[in-house]
Formats: sequence, structure tokens, C-alpha cells
Amino acid sequence: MAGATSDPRLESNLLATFFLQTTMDLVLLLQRVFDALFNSAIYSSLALALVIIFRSTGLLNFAQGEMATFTAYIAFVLLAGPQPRLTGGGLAGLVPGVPFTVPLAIVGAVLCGMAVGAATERVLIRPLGGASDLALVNITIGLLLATNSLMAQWWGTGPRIFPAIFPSGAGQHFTILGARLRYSTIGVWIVLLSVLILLILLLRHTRVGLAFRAVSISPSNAELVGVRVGPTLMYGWAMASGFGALAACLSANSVLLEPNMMLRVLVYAFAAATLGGLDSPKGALVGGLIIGLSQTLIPAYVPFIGFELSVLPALLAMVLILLIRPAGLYGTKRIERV
Amino acid sequence: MSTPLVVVAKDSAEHKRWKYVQWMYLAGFLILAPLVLEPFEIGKMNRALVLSVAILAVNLVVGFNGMLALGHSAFMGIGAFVTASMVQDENWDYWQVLPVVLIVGFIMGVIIGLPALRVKGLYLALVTIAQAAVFPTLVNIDELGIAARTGGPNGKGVSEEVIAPGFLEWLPGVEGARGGSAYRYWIIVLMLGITLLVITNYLRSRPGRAVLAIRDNEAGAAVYGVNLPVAKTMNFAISASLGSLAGLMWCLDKGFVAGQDFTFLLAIDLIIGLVLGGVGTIQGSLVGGLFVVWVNDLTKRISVPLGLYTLNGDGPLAKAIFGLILILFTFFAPGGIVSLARLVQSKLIKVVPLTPSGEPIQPLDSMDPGMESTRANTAMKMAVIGPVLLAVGWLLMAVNSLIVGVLAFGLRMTILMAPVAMLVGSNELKAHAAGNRPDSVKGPASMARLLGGLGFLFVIAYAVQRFALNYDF
Amino acid sequence: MVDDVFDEVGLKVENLHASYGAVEVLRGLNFEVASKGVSVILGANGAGKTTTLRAICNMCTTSGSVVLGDEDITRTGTAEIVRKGVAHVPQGRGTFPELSTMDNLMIGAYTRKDNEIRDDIDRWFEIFPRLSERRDQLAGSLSGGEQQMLAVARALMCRPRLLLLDEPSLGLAPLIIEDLFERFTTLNKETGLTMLIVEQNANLALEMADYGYVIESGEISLSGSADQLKNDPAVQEAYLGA
Repeated sequence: MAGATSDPRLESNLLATFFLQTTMDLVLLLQRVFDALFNSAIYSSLALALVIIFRSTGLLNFAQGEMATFTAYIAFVLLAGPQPRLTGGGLAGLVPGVPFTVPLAIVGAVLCGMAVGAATERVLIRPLGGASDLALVNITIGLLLATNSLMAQWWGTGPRIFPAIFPSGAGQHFTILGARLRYSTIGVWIVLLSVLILLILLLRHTRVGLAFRAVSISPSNAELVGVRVGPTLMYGWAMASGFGALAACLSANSVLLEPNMMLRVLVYAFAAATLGGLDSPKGALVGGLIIGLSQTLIPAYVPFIGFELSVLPALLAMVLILLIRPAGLYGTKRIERV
Repeated sequence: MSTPLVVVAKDSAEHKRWKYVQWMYLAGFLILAPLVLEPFEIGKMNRALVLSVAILAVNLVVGFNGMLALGHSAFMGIGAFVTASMVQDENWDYWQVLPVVLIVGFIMGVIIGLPALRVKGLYLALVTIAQAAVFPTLVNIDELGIAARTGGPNGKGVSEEVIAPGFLEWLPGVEGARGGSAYRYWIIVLMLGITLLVITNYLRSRPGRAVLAIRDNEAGAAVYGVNLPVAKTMNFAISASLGSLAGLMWCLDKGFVAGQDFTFLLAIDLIIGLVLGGVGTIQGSLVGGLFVVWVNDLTKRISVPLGLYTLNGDGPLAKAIFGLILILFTFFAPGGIVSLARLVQSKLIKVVPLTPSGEPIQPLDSMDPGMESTRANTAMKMAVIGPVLLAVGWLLMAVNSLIVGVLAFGLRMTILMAPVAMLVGSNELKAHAAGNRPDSVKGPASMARLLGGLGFLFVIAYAVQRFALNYDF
Repeated sequence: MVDDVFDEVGLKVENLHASYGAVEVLRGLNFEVASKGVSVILGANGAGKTTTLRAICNMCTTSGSVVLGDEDITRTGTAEIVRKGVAHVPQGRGTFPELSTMDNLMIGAYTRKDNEIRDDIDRWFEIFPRLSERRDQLAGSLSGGEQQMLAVARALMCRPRLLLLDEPSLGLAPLIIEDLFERFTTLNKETGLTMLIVEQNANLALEMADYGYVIESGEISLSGSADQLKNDPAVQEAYLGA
């Protein structure tokens, strides 16, 4: 002991190293959190699209991710031309005086996504009437396969560089306590939060929102209070698909545009939505955050879990939460009366 | 053809005879397949039958218990990897691994089923899809020696070859060029047969009926004293066990397993097979496996030039066609192929139920008075059309085109109507002799019997020729 | 054929057929409901009472004609019929168990665009104070009687011209039933709301009704004023337990 105290210089050095180390660790942690926030936002957005459909129609759209990817391709086409692999001309000159800038192309993609969603409901879902869950799963899985394959057929499987909507160059970030928070992460979160707030306001405080909830609980009872069930479902699908399109366009820059782009994201989005509760927009957000953060942080701090396995803890968390609360963190418990 | 060709009393000698006819068709199909098919086609047949077992496993949960569990690709993977590891690393025999695989599958089923079955409907679908999605990555974990056992990203090959022992070389197809795959075919058929028997009996047993009751009315089943968690979990575990068995068969058939084989896409294939075959029917699982493999195979061979662009089935097109088929079936044939087959069957044969005293609930002769002559006529038409289409099919074989080839195959198969025509013809003649038919029936009926008999002889001759080629007489 | 027995007809049904798949449940019904009056349909289980109400709202495959006031609504969609002023309290109550009491009333007023919705809700809370106490509770957690009150209030929130009630007494205690039927009577007297009630509890129903029909195997077998029916020996034997 005496020996250790006899050299105060060494001690202070050790202390300094310790502090430096701790600070660096903290900065690294913050950096990882910031990095994870981007993916979290993407998972949350797609989860939100799933929640919108579940909330307004009571079913899940397994083709949600593929439909979103399709609209991202539409945005790409609006910017670069119908067969981007052959030409680079684009539709920019097609409508005189309307230059297709990135935001405009995304608006086009969202509108297209809404049309596709509405059409899907009208053509594939509504004619089935009140079919079983399995039938609806079949339809949307069929749609998933068909859309995915047709995209690969038409646009090829090679990844494409989608232009960034928010500045995401080398120096374009805030520095907070030494960690870099990219503008694009902030941008994506602003979009996500504003849509979420709008959505919650719509569902909670408007007639239309009440109609959505009524239809998802019981379509036949909803009809008896004068809700036009068919169109309501169609609006729900359009809204969700439009939102999915937005999610795809926002993420296409970072994950590269290719036909399977949203397939992996979809699994995480499913996990996020289930975690949060399938009928809760707030739950989708929190679920996406949990999945995104655990995906980045757990492999970083738990040595034997590599990035490949990073989703495992999140999925385990999902299973655990379902065990304790089968309706998810924020979901409404279904009331069953025989 | 609104009049059924045959009217029989339930469980009468004649009814049994028609049942035997059905079994004969099935047996003929099974025996001839390894003799007629090319070796690589037998391989596909094996894959199809393996998938049938897996689809049956899915059916047990989705079709018979009404739980949307879609992640059985993972159970298949577990079975396949356990088998590969035990056979390759520990030098076990396949039959020694079998009980281990069944038990491991069962335990995995309990572990996953206990939490998962607390949630219902689409929630369960989500949890099980997560299970399917995460499985291929689990295989690559370096810890606990998992990657060493599974071969990690490279997959694991089994070097031991499955070869028929000397005393089994007489099995059709086993000797000669197609030997290996034909022998595996017979093993798979045997395992499939046993599985079908076991599952059929399980569904008729007390726990099996509880499972069906839960599907039809969960609250009702609970009120009648069914312990819901136990019944559901047990059923799920049996299904998982069956899925693992399919995995063992997969490994036995291919001799190689890799994580990429057991992805979410395989889970989707199983669902497609389930829907195509027929949800909630045993036969449907069988047909579903065959369809998934053959449709996949056919689409892969498609190549349609469209101007500058060639629509190539080798790429992603197969998925699009499957997607389309899935949607079309959900809309137009929600009962799957089995329901369509039953529709056809109901036009062919009508089984009149019995009263408790053992009499038919209505006299067989009074089924459709005045319509007797159409029956003989239809039989005659069947007897004539078969050989004609067979000839056309044979000629079309010369055309080198995929679609024509499939069409030609279908046309040649129409000769299988001949035995039916023969039997109906002789039936009608018997009825005429007994004085139950007008004289006008006699001509077409004898014609149907004669032509049908000839067609039947042809089929037998073809089969014998195949056997001769195989056994070198 | 029923002659025009009433001065003013609220609902006129002619030759109404309805079927579920191959099973024909209604085989040519003819009846009328007097405007501002209370009519009742009596019948045994499986006679087609519920189907009659469902057919009026076009909730099953039908043929024949249904005329509301002077408007043919045979081919009109269910939601549109509700918008024309027909409120239907179905069997099983038709409330939304996962919505709060308040939201159930709000959705009841879905077809309205005026700004008196809040006043109406307050009025119903005054009439049914128990609902007021449970305004933020989920409807599924209410008791059977409370749910039936909610169902009626929910139906009346759209300010209908015609109220269809499907066995409102089902599953309720006798005291609550009496209370409920008293309220129906008051409602009819005060607001002149036209009502068509389907009931098995013939005593109570004939007590409050002006006119009644008896339905058997999908056909009207008997009709008359409530007093006539009460004194009809066949009705007494079959439905009044006399």
C-alpha cells in the first residue's frame, strides 16, 4: 500500500486514463445510440404502417414492405426514367416545366402507394368478405411474392443508389458531446414524429378515427351506425401504404434500393409492432426504438453476440413481453364475451 | 354429367371394391414412379414427399387446430441439423437418430409452443414468422460449438451414402442407374406412410378430437373440459416433432444441410403447399408437397421471349407464379386441390348411407330413374376418349416445347380412365342381366367394357415392360 | 295482402323473402308499421324474427320490397339505410366492447353533422345515470343491463325516424326489463319515434305496442291491434301462457 501512495504522479495518470477511458466509452455509447436512432426510425415507420392497417381493418399486411419498396422504385423511376438500367434520361423532361426533384418524386411515390393500397383493398381484400385470418394471410403473402418477383424481373436485383432527401454528406452532422448526430437521422425523426402526432390526433379526436376503430372491432356493427365500411377500409389501406411508401423512400438512401430492401426491415417492423402492441401507434414507435437500439447496442456490449444475431435479444424480448402482456406493451386487450 | 357413374351402398361389397380401385391407383403410382422417372426426377419426388411430411406438420397446427403458426421451417432445420451432426460427427445410423430427432423436435415444440400459444391469430403468425426468420442466423453462432456442429455458413455434408442393403435390392428401381435415389424414395415412402397412419389415428383419438374441438369453438371446448393450454401445446409439440422428422428425411435425401435451406421462404413454401393441397385434410398435405415441387420445377423451365426482353422462369418468376397461384386458390378454391378432387369424385361415385338397421336409406335403383342409359354412354365415352388422347399425347411428345410437353403428359394420363370405364361397363351389364336396365344400355355398356378392358391391358403391359427393363428379364 | 290499416305508414314491407345460402327463412312477409306507433313482431325461436329486422336493413340476401316512408330502400346498402334514419339494435346489442361508453355514443352519432351531439349525450347520461358513471369505462366491461341501455342510447344517438329492437329483453332480469320497456313507452310518447320490436316476451311487448304481428315459419300468421292479439285464444295459448 505504501508503495502505491508514494508515487502520486502515477496515481493521477491512472486516474486520468480511467476518466479518459470512461469518457471515450460514453462518447462511443452515445455515438452508437445516435447511429441506432436512424434504423429505429425506419423500423418504427414500417411498424406504424402495419399498425394503421391493423387498427383500421383488423388485419396484417405481409406485403407491406414489398409494396413500400415498389413505391420507392416508382420514386426512382420518376427521377431516373422507366428502365433505369438502360437509360438515364428520366421523366424529368416528360412533363414540361415540372422538374422531378427528390421531394416531388417522394410525393409522387406516396400518392402512388396510396393508390396501390386502396386498389389492393378493393380488388383483393374486400371481395373475400369476412374470410378467415389464414385466407387474408395467404392473399398478402401471395402479394408479397408476386410484387417482390416482379420488381426483380423489371428492375433487376442489383442495388441502386437512391438520392438522399436530407443532407447526409461527410460533414453534415451536429456534434453533441463528441458524438455525431447526422442531419438525416434528425430529419427522419421529424418526419416520423409529425406523422405519428397527426395519426394519433386523427384516431383519437376525429369522427373518421372513431370510425376506423369501430370498423376494426366489428364491421357489421359499424355498418349499423352508418359507417360506410368498404370505403373506410380502403382509406385505411391507402393511408398505411402511403406511409409505407414514405418509410421506404426515407430509408432507400441508407440501405440501398433493391427488391429485397424491405424484407429484412419487415421482420424487425413486425417485431416492433408486436412488442408495442399491434393496435397502438405509440407502441410502434417504442417498439421500433427497442428493436433498433438493441440491434446496435447488444452486439457491441455482449461479447458472444455478433451482429448477425443482434435481432435475437429483441425477438426474445418480444416473446417475453407477449408472455406477460399478450396484447403488447401499449395494445388494448381484446375483450371476449361468449 | 349430373348422374353419378356408380351408386353404391355404404360399406357394401361393391363400395369396398371401388375403394380397392382407388388404392390400386395410388399403389400403381407409387410403384411405377421410381421405374418411370429419371433419376433426377426421383430426387424431386423425394423432395416433394419430404415437404408433404412438413406440410402435414403445419396442417396439424393450422388446419386441425386453427392456430396460425407459420414457422415450421425452423423445426425442419432443427431436425436436419441434428441428423447431419449425429450421422457425420458421431457416426450414428439414420435409424438411431430417428428417435432423438423426434424427441428433440417435441421438446423444441413445447419450449416454443408454451409462450407462443398464449397469443392468438395474427399475433401468433408474427411470433412464428420471427421464429422462421431468425433460425438461419442461429445456425451460425460460434458459441457452444454450434457452428462446428452445423457447419456454420458453409453448411454440413454427410459423407455416408445411403445404399440399399443386398436383401432390399429387389425394390423397384433400386438396382441400376437410379439406385441411390430410388432406395431413398422407398425409405421416404415408408416413413410417409407410417406418419400418415399415425396422424390419422391421432386425430381420431381423444386428444385429437380435443384439438379439432378447439379449432371449431375454443370456448366451447374449454367448457367441455378440454384443458386448452395442454391440448394446444401437445398438438404443437407433436407437429414440431413431425417437422423435425421432415428435416431428418431432408438430410437423408440430400446428404447436405445448410442454414440457407431453412429460411422464411421455405416456411412460405409450406404454407403454399398447405393451401394448394387443402387446409385441414390429410390428403391435402400429400398433394401439396407434390405441387410445390413440380410447379416450382415447371416454372423454372419457362422461357418466353418478349421482344428485347426474355421472361425467364429461372430467376424470380417462380415466386410470382406461386404468389398468383396462392391468391387464385384463396379466391376460387379455398378448399384446395382436395376439394376439387372431391367435387370430381362426387360426380363419379355416390355412396348412399345406411340406416341403423343396415339398409341403404333409399333403394339404390331409385337414385335416378330414367337416367340409366346416360351412365353406360358416359362409360363408353371415357373408354374411347382415353386411347384417343393417349395417341394424341404420344404424337405431341415430338414437339419440343415445355407447355406442349406438360399438355402431352396430361393427355397420356387420360388412359387411366380405362379401368373405371371397364368396371362401370360391366356393372351396367350386370344390372341389365338382373332386369334393371333397358336393352338400349347393352350396346354402349359392352363397348365400354371391351375398350376399357383393352386400355387397362395396355396400362398393365406398360407397367410390365417397365418392370422388365428394370429387372432384365 | 295487408290493407293500409294505418293513417300514416312508417314502414311498409311487401312480399319479403330472405335466405341464408340454400335455406329460405322468410317466405313472403307483408306488414306495415304505423308512423309514430309501436309495432311488435311475436314468434317462436327460428320463426324468422331476427331475419326480418336484418332483411329490413339489407343485411342478408333478400327479395321483395321495403319502403321507408315513401322511399324504397330494398336495394339500399345497410350504412345508407342507417343514414336515412333507421336505427337497429341487433341481437347481441351491437355495441363496441373495446370502445369506451362515451366513444360508443359518439360513434352512434357518426351520421350526424350538427353541433348538438354533446347535448344529446348529456341527455342520455341524464336518462341512464349508470352510463354516466361509467362513461370512460370500456363498453365490454359493463353489465348486461347497462350494455342494453348503452345499445339503445347508441342507436338513438343518430336521431332515427324508425327504431328496430331485436329482443331487447334477452338475458335481462325481469325488473330491468320492465324498467327498459317503460322507457321505450315514454320515448315513444314524448318524441313520437316509430318503433318495431321483435320479442318473445309477448306480455310486455303487447302491453306497450299498438299493433302486433305473429310470425310462423317465415310467414305472418296473424295480425291485429295489441288488444285483439291479447284476447286471441291462439296467441294466448302459444305466447301468453294462458
